[in-house]
Amino acid sequence: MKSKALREVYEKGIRVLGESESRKVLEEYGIPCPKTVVIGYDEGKRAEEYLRELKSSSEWPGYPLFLKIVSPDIIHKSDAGVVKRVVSDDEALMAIETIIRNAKKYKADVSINGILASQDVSSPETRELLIGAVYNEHFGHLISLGIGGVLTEVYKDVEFRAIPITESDVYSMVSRLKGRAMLGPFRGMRPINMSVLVDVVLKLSKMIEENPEIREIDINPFIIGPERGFAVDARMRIE
Amino acid sequence: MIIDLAGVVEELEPFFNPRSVAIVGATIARGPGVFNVMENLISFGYKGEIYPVNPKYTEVLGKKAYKSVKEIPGPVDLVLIAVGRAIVPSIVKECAEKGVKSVIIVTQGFAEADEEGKKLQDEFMKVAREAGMRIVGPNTLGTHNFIDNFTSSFIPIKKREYDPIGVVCQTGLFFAGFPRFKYAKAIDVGAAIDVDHVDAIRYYTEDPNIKQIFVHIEGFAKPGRGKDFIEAVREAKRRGKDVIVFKVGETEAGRKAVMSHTGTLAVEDKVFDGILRQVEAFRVRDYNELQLVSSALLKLPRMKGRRIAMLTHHGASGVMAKDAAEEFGLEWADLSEKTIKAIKELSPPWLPIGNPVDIWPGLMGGPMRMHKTALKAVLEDENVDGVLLSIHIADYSGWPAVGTYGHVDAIAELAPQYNKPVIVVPIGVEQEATRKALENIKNVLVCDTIRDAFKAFSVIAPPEVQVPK
Repeated sequence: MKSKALREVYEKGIRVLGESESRKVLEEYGIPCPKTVVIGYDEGKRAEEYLRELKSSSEWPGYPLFLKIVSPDIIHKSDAGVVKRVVSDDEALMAIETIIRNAKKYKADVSINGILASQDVSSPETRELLIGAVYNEHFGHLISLGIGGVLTEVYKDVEFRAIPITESDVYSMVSRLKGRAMLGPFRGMRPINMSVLVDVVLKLSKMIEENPEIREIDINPFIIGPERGFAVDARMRIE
Repeated sequence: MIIDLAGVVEELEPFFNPRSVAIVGATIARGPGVFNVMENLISFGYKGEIYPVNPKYTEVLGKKAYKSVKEIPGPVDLVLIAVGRAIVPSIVKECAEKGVKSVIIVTQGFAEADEEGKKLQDEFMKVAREAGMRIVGPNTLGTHNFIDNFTSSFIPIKKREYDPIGVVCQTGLFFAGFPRFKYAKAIDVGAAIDVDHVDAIRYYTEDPNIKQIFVHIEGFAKPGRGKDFIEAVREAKRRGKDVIVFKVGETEAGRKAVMSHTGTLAVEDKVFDGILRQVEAFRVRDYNELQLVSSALLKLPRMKGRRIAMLTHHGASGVMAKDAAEEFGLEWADLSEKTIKAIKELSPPWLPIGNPVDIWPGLMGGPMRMHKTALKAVLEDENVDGVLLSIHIADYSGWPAVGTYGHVDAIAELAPQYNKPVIVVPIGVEQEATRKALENIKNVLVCDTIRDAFKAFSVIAPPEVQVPK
């Protein structure tokens, strides 16, 4: 286990890592993540105070952004109504009140750790991919690459290769996807930046090689456009 | 990673080409329907020593019979065990005491059957490991070797010509071969509890007689063996050998506790498919595909690109070809000025020359001349990586059948001179005769259908990479 961030959570006894814990490991390996600020939750604190604190952080991403509840109790955040996209201070103030209210509705004794503001990295030209890894008893760790987003399980359009993988493996995986046309010029969108994709997949391969304790990881969605790509959400399990 | 291939050859050679073999459970019954291994072996022309072992007889098929393996006077390279499962451990023990290093267990009903079977298997495997013995099976036909005239198969197989193909399979059915898949050596690893696919791939990698390795696999018996498989296939490829894989069956193993999409979607078939692409092995899914892929790899030179030129007797085949090219990701060559001019000179002036090239109107002025001119032009064309000929063979009574249009002679003369694949699809009742006539011509493959032809091109073409751009 070479990753410092991974060792820290491992020592705390954590085996399933949520978004913010996974993010620290990804960042350690140079996988780009959206700019994010978290402000601790205090019962009774007003929306204006959260917003002021968020905006005073050097990591404040600017609008548009997503506001989310940080809570170990809520896994599917959009379904629970604790994620809102906002474009202005007025919207942000309303959203903070709404997501706190929805979190409390979700579960009576819900535990809320904080309010998170995260850069909206999507644009009319971005696509959502799944990038991940899983341990296989025959072949060892495998890297996955496929069509991501909310329809991942519907399309099941994913390719697997064993680590360590090469640049030509990444091209071969993309070539095999049924939805590959979506990654090229498509409905006025420019093609995705393949060198960014190759770079991220190779970094993930290295991360898995150096930390075989990671038994499975999903980066979903990995949002990528003609210029940049970001690991917007990630989860992993270690052993 | 350095792989000790020499060690594998030393350990596996006695299974394929033993100097002496003992057959435990040899029987005196003979003739069709008896499935007598020893009878097969003798009629197959095996030159080594055969020692029948069966306490019931003093002689089997003219050879002195022994009561036990230990009683055999000379060294024994290989022992074939075909007796009831209960006495297998005691016979393996005898083999160990005799110093035998290679044993084939034909008998079935071990770990894959029940608890008692598992106990018996653990018992003989312990003896085998301590004695440094290698075991093929259980539940196997063993090996079959056309090069050195050795067989352990109880299913009779006749001597025949062979191609440089090595087979490793988990069923004896592949021992029968196919009309267009004439392997040289085969090993049925059965339950693969010891000698397995990886060992066999490594053995064939070292074998100068083998150029193509065919792997039929249901699954790995030992965890982690997939990694060795990857390395073994890569080594075979490095030595210039093609690997064809027929993967069947889905096991539930390895699909435990998953929380991720990646984990859920990693079904065995999908994973295998990705791994085979990664190591550049060819996957086939039925016997027809096996024969097609195998012969394309053996007979045709590799293509430098994916651009096809097609010469056809009929427009309809050209339309079929467009669909097939799309399906297999092949491209249509942009024929050079020189090619177009050569074909145009022999065609009626109204005929546009495109690709596929309709050579029928041009044939009217002399079929041999048209076939030769058009074929030479596309073979010499730098924009062309592979050539397809779709030929309509009429069955007009009174016409000389094969070669009526001079195509056989044209292909036989021209195809061997260029390093480009020529695939011929003859249509008509003379298809088989045309196949025979072109069978041994260098750089030529005869296919049954247009779709098969494009599948064959896709096998010998450089891998298709579709980059989003």
